Amino acid sequence: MAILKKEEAQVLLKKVLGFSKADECAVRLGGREGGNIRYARNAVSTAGDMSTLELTVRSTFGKRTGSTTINEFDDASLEKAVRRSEELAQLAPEDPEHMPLLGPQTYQESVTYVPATAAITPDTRAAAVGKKYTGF
Amino acid sequence: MSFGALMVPKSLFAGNDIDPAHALVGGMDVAMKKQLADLALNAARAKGATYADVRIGRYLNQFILTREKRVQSISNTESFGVGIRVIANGSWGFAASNNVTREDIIRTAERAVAVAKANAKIMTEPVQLAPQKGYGDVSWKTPIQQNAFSVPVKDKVDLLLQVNDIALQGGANFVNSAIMGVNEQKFFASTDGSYIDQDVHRLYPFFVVTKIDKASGKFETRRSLSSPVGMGYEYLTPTADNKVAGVVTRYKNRYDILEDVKNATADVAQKIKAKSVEPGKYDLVLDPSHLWLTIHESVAHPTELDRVLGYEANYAGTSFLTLDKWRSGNFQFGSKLVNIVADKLQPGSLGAVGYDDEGVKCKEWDIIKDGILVNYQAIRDQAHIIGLKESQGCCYAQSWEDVQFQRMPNISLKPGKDPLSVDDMIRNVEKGIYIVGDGSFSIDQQRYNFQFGGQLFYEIKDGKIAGMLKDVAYQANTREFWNSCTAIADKSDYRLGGAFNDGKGQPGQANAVSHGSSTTRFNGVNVINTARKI
Repeated sequence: MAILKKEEAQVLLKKVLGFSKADECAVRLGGREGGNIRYARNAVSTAGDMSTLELTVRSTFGKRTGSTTINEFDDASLEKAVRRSEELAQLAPEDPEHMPLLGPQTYQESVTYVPATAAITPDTRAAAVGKKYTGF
Repeated sequence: MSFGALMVPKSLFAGNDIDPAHALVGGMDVAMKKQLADLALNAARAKGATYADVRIGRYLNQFILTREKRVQSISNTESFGVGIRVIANGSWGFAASNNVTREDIIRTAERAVAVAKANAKIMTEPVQLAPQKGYGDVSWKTPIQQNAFSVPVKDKVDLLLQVNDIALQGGANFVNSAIMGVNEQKFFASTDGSYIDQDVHRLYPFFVVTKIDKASGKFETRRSLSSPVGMGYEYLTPTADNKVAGVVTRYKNRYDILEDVKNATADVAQKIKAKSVEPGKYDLVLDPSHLWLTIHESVAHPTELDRVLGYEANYAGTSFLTLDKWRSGNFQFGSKLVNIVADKLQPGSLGAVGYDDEGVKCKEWDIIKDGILVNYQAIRDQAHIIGLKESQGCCYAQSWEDVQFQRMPNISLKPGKDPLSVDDMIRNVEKGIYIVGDGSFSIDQQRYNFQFGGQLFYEIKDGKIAGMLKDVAYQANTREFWNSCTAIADKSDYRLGGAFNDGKGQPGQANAVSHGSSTTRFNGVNVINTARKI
């Protein structure tokens, strides 16, 4: 669940934007699959696997901006996040340096996805550490 | 300045931005957490785990920062998820997810077992876990009087701007102030049979006042004499009986931020005019608002067992207090007056909880007894290394997504047994310096050679305070310093200081810890002048 396909992400983001009543609304979706292994004195000390997905809504009225983030993705939660960011925006002080959103842009495809990195498993990490301290 | 022990890991600021009012809305109920935890424990067992624990946590943070007449930032964050730790095939494994549903928690438990089994392939010796009885269904809550998250943001902003206004009206050039609040709502369950629900609160109000000397172009600062505390917003309601009178007012369990900033503004002006210290040997009289940091760096870090063993070196290095010194049974760490205890019990302390993050009930134990090194800080998988039959209960994770590991409990210097006031202590000092408040610090990677500054320095001449000094720092090595301890004020002077964000580990994690003491005297310590030109 942590990493969505581009099409899945677009459907979700468009739905969130559809809830907005603000002058401007920016939505960010971030997913993370992470793993780590740590060793000392020829032994693994800590190792873990972590997965998160979160959505940040940033609403602006004039020069007042508020943001909120959630990690629940049902329609009610998504609309609640939008309303909450709008409420916070109304409470926020004006930002004299506020710049409006750029409008529709054409973005290049990301080239930072590396399948070999995505394919790393706990076994891969353990094997790499094993080579370091045992040589096998 | 040492890089490290008090550095704030970026991960501390992780979490989702929320509406402040949302912090007061209750999270998932305990019965549901227990059901989900049981699913995870059973799933782990089914995949071959011989031990498992589950932490379902909701972590709330609020940081309000101001400068002069404006608000710099207001941050309200929430983070909710589950972390599952298991032993399978003799190795640890850990997995975490923000999805806390029936299906996802089972999947996360299975991932933790997969991590453990992968690690087991390169294991040199299996995990030895100290036995721990299950407590059944229990709970613990920080005994707060007022939840800091229930106080409107506007009230906090108004208070901080009032602090800033007092400083500016008093002649300060700059002033920063902040209030930080933390609420950890965490549920722990393990295959030992514990289901532990805890609600932990911490608060840290502070400021820094800066004044420029236009004639010289130099500046002086004075930080607040507040402490980070394991309390609610009541800490900011001053009471007369919690004030410590003296050359400057200090505080116990309640803090008068408006009084302190007024004093700080006068102090910083006085610091500019103060005499620069003459380097040399002095008898130091150290207030608890200062001594906590010296205890933290020179006693608390080097007695973390993983640092002693060389398993941990991040942020604060390893330790000169190697096992041979402990085994000798006669390693004179300090003078016979020095008794240092570890605990996670003291009311109002940052470390206070009912149970640690691997389900061990918290306790107190000796670290230094009558000057001799007698123990370390150890958790369940370390206890056997130093011959303990049970954990000392000092395991902690900063959030659900981080694995729990050995973290520093409160480490405190016990007060003197005989009646002794600070005034009487100073009366017996011929040539000395009285230091209040913590300042810069530097210490080597074995926690042996160090240097500490402070906030306020007062010269002691023939038993009397003779005026303010500046540019003071003292240098010593840990053992010489603690062996030069010649007097400790009695328990009526005992106060807590502490670190709100002590860093350790990879990925880095923050921990909050208090250090208590009464005012203490150290003889013949080397003092340098930090303004000297070489």
